[in-house]
Amino acid sequence: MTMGLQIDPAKCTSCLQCELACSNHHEGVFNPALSRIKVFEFEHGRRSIPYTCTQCEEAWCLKACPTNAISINNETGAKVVDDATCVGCKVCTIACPYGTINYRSATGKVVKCDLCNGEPACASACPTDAIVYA
Amino acid sequence: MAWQRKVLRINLTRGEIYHEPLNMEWANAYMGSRGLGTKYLSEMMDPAVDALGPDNVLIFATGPLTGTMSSTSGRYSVLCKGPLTGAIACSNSGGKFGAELKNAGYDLLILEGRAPSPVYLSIINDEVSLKAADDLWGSTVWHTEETLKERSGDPQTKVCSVGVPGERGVRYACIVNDLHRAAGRSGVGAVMGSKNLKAIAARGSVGVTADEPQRFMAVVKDTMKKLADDRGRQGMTKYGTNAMIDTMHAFGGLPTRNFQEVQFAGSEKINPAAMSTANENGHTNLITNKACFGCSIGCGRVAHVDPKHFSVADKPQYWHASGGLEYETAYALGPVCGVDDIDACTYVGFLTNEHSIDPISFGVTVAAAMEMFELGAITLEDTGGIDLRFGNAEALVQVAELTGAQEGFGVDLGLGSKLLCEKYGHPDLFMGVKGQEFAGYDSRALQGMGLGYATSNRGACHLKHDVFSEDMKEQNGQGKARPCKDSQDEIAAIDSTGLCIFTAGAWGMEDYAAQVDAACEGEWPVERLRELGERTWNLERQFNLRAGLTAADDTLPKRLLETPAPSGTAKGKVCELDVMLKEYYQLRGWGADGVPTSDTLGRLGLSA
Amino acid sequence: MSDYLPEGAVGGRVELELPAGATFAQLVARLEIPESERYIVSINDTLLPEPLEHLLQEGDQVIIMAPLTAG
Repeated sequence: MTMGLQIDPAKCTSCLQCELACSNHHEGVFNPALSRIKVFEFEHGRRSIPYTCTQCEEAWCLKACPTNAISINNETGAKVVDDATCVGCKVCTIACPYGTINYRSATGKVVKCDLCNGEPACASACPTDAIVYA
Repeated sequence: MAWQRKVLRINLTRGEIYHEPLNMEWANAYMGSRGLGTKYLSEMMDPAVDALGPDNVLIFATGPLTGTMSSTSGRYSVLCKGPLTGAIACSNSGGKFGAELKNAGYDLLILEGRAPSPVYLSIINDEVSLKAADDLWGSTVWHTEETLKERSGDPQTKVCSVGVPGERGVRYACIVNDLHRAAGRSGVGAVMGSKNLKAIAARGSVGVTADEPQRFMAVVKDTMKKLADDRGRQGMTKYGTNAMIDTMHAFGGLPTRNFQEVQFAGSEKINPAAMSTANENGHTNLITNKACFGCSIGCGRVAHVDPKHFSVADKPQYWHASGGLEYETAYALGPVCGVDDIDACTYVGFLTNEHSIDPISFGVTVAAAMEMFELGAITLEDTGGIDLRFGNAEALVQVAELTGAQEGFGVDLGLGSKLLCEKYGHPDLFMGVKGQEFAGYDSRALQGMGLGYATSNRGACHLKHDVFSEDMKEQNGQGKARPCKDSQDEIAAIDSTGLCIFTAGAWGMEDYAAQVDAACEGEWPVERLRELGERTWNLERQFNLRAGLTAADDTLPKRLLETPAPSGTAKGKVCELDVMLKEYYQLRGWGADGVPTSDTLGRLGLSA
Repeated sequence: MSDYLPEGAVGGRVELELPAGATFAQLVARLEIPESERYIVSINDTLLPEPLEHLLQEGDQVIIMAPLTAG
């Protein structure tokens, strides 16, 4: 049974350590703007909900990609973008109903959560177990 | 490399925007945030100017660790000359705004002059502009923040702003960011308002790096674990800072009814247990906790007012959750006013965020007003019919609304406790130092705290020194000067990193030094941090001396020096400030006149 | 510190009976407060920085408080 990010919003304190960890892991810099996981706040700050790609079964992004740049990592079940093949057409960003695959103009490629090859940085960084890899 | 090496300087009078390199000589001598901000402030303005005039300079200063993955990396300082005190104002805030400013590429934001008409500042990385804010002038912090987020089209925009009290020069107006965090004390919000600057909206995507990324992350991991394992930290996560109200009451240091008493039986009704217990309507005050940027403590409280409570029963717009009671808010709206109504205190706490006023100064000002009302010095005519007696929760709510709107008696309350007491003929009833009201600790019970209050460069403040352990062992003036001085220097250094002082229970100076050392170029041993802290302390002192303050201002109200505590562990005691102050000046390397000697200045690299 | 309150405590207060000659250390043991825990003690409103050997008397009011930190 593959593992995934189990997110419990009731435990999220909006500290954004997950966003810092994600950007640090993937981009080598502390920059929440480059994070693939984002915390959304609702109701005047009452609720904080971390959200990212759920590695859904339907994998609309994968199916929409015209260059087959997205494939499934057999070990983790994550849908992973191959930068070399991605041409930045953004069709996947339209196909994904959740908005969790996004285009980066700086690189001309799309980015999404890839579960950090089985050791998701956000889950390690979360101080409250709002994000658990299980 | 931790620092962005960029300063954003805005001349509001001329509407000009300058991107300047960070002065690295100063950055190396003062690090960031409090220290570096103080250096820039000292160089850029004459401390003798009118605090609400155009020549006051307003600085937002991040630290090198702000925006990194260090725990509690969301902190920044707001500096200027404080209208409440006439001394240096250095107010610390958390939330997310500071980290966003850093991520936009700036170590410091400096605001000079006064805009000819209301404006707000928009910062999106290096796209910086001043925009008209006439349509926002007169609106609340919450309305302003929501509007600017919508207007920017980016919900991730972070905003700091002032409400009507800031616009109208209320002496203790603060700057609120992220809806319920604040650069709270000394009236920095009034300075922002005096510049016709309504708000700052920031969005950043530049990124922050460490000089030695791998070593930095190893130190961060290590210090995170220390923080997670610390008992004190765990208490803060679970109960917030309001856990202290029970200890302070039991100990007998909880300022009650304008410091007439030191214990308050009603504290049971507003303590963490009360916040977590359902009331007779089945309503529970506390919902959950909240953290600032990068923080693994999460001391913030998210709470809501009972919709059936008189304060909000006809105001559904206040039924939503917002920032709940922290210790200082609870003390200042509760015991010091004799009020034990958790919903009234929570609702008024909301109002202080919505209207950008410091709850500490506000509450202690109301307390002084209540005492004068009970003496007959303030009458029903003055208050517009409000029965402003101690313990009257309805009155507290009414005057809070008036102060937020700056109407009726709220205008008088907006003067702050010192001027209010002078106006109504009872100057001795002002409970504070250098014009700034005390925090929730009575210095007859906590003697070293008294020295800290008297000597803090920004007026009465509980956060600039830490002699709690000594104070809880012996209640006299012996042996307090040294730990006070040493902790003042250490805290000045911690405040300059961009991290939060609430890590200080779990971390030692070596933990801060290790993080700075890995993040910044150069060697940053503990000694360098301590020296930097002492240098900052003396520079703040110099600013104050230039502003006209003297050793005579390092004092406490008569009540604490002459009237013994009526109950608790300090029953019968007064604050032995005299004993402590002489020794303190000596340890500081200052003359008996409280002025740093040329030897001391020379040693610290400061000019006379 | 309220974690250590025994059953029957109301509003953080409880009355306890201890054998004659009991010291504060014995009270700590009775409440099962571990050695690692830090706390402040006042007995009859007098601060006791070194409370363990203190002999308890009939009617003593003992307050055990969590340490203070800035806030």
